[in-house]
Amino acid sequence: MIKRLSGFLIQWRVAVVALLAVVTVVLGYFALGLEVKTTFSDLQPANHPYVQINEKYKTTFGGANVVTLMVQVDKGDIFRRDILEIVQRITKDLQYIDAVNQFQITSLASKKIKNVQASTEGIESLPLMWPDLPSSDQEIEVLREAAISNPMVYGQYVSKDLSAALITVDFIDRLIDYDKVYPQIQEIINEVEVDGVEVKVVGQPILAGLIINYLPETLKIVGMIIGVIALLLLVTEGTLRGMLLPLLSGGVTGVWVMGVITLMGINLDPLAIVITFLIAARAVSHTIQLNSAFDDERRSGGLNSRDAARLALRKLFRPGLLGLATDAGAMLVVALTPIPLLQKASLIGAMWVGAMVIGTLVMVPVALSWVRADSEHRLVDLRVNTAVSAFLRLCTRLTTNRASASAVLIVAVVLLAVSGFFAKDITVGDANPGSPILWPDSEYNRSDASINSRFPGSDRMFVVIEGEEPDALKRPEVLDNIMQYQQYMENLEGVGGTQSLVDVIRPVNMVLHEGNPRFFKTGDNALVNGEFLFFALAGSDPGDIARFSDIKYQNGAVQLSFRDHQGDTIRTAIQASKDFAAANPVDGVEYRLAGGLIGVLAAANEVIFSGQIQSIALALLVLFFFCALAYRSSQAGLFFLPLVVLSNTVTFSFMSWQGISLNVNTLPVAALGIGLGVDYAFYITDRIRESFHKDGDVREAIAFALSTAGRAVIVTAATMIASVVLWYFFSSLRFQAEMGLLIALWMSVSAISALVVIPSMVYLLRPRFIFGAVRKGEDYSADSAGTGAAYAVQGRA
Amino acid sequence: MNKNYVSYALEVALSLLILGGLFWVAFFVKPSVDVPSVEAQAIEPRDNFFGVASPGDSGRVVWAAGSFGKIVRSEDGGKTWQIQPTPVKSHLQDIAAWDAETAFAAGDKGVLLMTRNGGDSWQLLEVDTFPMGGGQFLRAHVDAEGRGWVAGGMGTVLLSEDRGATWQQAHPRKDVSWNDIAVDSSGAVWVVGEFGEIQRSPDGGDTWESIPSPTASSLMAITFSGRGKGIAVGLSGTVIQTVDSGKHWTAVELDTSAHLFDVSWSGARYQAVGNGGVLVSGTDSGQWDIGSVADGNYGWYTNITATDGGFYIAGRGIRFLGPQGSHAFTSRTDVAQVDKRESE
Repeated sequence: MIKRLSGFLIQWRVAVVALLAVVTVVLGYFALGLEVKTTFSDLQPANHPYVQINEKYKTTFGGANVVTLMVQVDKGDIFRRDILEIVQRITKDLQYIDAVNQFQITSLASKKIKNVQASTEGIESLPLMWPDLPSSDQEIEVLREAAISNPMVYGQYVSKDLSAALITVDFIDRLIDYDKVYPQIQEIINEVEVDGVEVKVVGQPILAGLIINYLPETLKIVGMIIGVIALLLLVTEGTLRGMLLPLLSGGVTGVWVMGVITLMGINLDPLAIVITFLIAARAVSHTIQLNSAFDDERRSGGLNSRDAARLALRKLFRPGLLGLATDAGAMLVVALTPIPLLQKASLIGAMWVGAMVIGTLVMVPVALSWVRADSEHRLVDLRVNTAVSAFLRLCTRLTTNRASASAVLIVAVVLLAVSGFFAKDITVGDANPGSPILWPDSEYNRSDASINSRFPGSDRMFVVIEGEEPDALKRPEVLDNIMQYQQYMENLEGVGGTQSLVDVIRPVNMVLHEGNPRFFKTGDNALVNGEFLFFALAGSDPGDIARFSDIKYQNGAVQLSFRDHQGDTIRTAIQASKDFAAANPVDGVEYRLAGGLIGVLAAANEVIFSGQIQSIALALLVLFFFCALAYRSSQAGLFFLPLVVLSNTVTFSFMSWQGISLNVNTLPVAALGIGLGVDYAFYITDRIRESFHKDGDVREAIAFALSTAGRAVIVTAATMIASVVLWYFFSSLRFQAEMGLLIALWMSVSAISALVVIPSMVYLLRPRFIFGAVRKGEDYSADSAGTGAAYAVQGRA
Repeated sequence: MNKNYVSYALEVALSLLILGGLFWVAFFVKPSVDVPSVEAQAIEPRDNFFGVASPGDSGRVVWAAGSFGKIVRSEDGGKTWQIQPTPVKSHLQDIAAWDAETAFAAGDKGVLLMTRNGGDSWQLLEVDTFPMGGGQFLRAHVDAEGRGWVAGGMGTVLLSEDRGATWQQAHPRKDVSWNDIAVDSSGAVWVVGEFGEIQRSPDGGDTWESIPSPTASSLMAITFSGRGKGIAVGLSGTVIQTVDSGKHWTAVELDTSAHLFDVSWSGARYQAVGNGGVLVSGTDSGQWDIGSVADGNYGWYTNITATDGGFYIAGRGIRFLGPQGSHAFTSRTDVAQVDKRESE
């Protein structure tokens, strides 16, 4: 079948290329509309209970897209007219930002922040600094006193040392465009910043905006890396086609996929750009294999280009297809993890790899058939080939000797065991404070640390208390329970502070008792608490208490501020919440986890945690089945498993060593890399099999395989490794730098195991699927015997 | 041939084993994660301690009582604290001790707790309270003669003359909250309360007389230095002074409007605490300083107790004010760091 197909394709090569060109142009046109952006909903596992609670309550209790600004003075405190004016101006200007939730802008200068005061006329609830700034020193002094004595302000919106003020602002999830929010906020900051005053800003929208801001740099690095790959290919391959075909194949398939996903309405996450190299590397690998097979055929058989191209297509189609299918299968498994970002990455990866069946396995040989081999000469010759050949001979000697081959396997097994041991230490969720996407000394992470050292924390979670009937939240036992939950949670290292209805009620009671803190507590019955709430909210907008309760006082929220969003912090907080709710039940109300950024991250981490092991196991099953099927031998399935496991454990232990954790951003790399390098192994074993059936000599067969397929492996690996590490040196984003290293490591392990471990296993174990009898349909005898005419006839038949 | 079959069988068996294993992992393994359980800390960030007591003068043994029936004790001057289990969830407003073994705490909803074993166990005492707010106990006090006193809402004054075994009302019901109680060197009992009210009992609570007050602001605490001299403090920076055993009280003008909640005599100086981190200190000769319990500290404190080395204060946390400055006691390291920055 393959034989006929290859003849046919080469025969109609003009039509084939024309068709592919048309497809490329059309899809390329669509690909121009590709959206490179971050969508917050991509991070959320939609069916997870936490995400559902977040969706249900986020409009009132505050969603995950919160920006926190801190106005900080170098000397003295913020109670100066010019500083207060800055706070007020930022608070006002934020209202005009796109997608902002205007009811959720909170600061010293917002209407929501009030003081309950006892006066001769009774109890008043007045905004602290709204609508007007204090005009005299005396009024500023009054404001300072009021701020200090108000627990909703002091430590929450004004730092305890009075040197900083906080402004928080919520965005509407479905409207937010990170591309716009970041520059708009930056503009507000630039306008107000003066000497001696610093404005720092953090939050999910800022982070996403920063990443988009780095997009030009990212694209520059992409260009540079492609240039370096081209240069390295030119040096190693020596010919123009050796340089252009891998790039063309990777590029064309990429264009197809980008075109298709644009049509499907899928966006590309900016952080996924580095991952495209992980996928495109496969196109480079397969192309180099084809190129090198083409050269081998031409040289050894003295064939013309058309016949050599046809033979290369025919011989490599099976291992190539097997490699691509395994890869795609392993990637598709990731789609079972119900996080849209991962599903999209999985889909893009699988489609791209799938496209390589046409864009690489077919297109490259067809293109090669035009090579005018006789008049072609090497553009560069740096004697790289000599060095590569020498290295390959070394590999051959190493693997075709009983003692050294055994040593190789022992080393591999030990490495597997050791790396497997350390791999399990990998963390799920972020491993360090701040954002792992940026370097610890980046401005963003320094701002984050600065804000979190002065305030309870910029990352938020809300836990919902659902009541069975209205006014449930006024009941003293419910309020006491909420208060004790807050107290319990505030014991956690990562929790900077909590707020609830309790914190609204208590100051009112205190004010009613002449400001005596001995009465800083909730009332003894629901009626009294209702009165306190009435006083607290007199003259305010209905939305002002929305962060803590609905208007019927049936469902409320405890707001928790987190100093960081490390995986451990989140897991501990979630577990502690569940423990508390289980140990301290109250009739008529129930705790429901969990909204806000921390709630969503908790859901994503839980899904990743339970899904990761499952994904790897399923990917290995896919690998087993494809191999067993392709070689019609369960032995083949077993044979390739350890290799994939090895590169996974090595990479994972590297990640845990470097503190790179598994999260929504790094998981696609781990997932799309799982089948990486499996094609190397397929090409090598196929070549061994081919040579053995011709000559019957194991040693010869391994030497042959290494000098042909092995050479291509080295060229591919060297090229890709040398270029992806450039991320490490040039990217301002820590994520890209680390992923560059990770991909390089992954490719190194795959290449080494294909060059050394596979031949050693073959030599020592003599697997039947390689050395067994030739089955029907396989035809190794026709190697270089056929003539162009004969194939042409067959092809037409 | 046999050998081939064996290896073939082995291979199939291994395949099935690995396949089965992978299937099992893929569908049945539910990974779990060890999460450290949350230990209740002796002093938690959200705790309010309304009262603090240190029996003896050394300051080694310290008790503090506060919100949700919490009592903590230190036996090493505050380095380490232990939670003492109590049978109540009501807020405890004050604690007072006869010695390191015997102490009582008073609080909301008529709660009176008693221990005779250093707090290993606390018993809830049954006491009669006045209706409509008489169950709101505010202060606990042990005087030089070993009598126990409780002051509270609705004119409540409770007296125990048997080291806490029995308690009886020692003041008629009255619609005023007594915010503090003190006994001067002559043995007269003093109560201060809302609207600047002052009352005196020369006979251990049998009879009471109203004393003219120079202020209408609520008085929160009263103390005597001896030799007929004493002061009372209250809301909005109120300080009143007597030098004639309380016959006459005069207002001291201070440059602060902060509420003052408690005052203590160290043997050399008065020290008063209140809200906004205020620390007022002064002498009978009328020299007054207005400072802060710690630079950058704006918390409120409702109780101050003198020891030989300095003062314990309680409120929004527990602190020690010594000659070397002030430090907070906390079970949380990161809070301690924040506090350190505050005092820098």
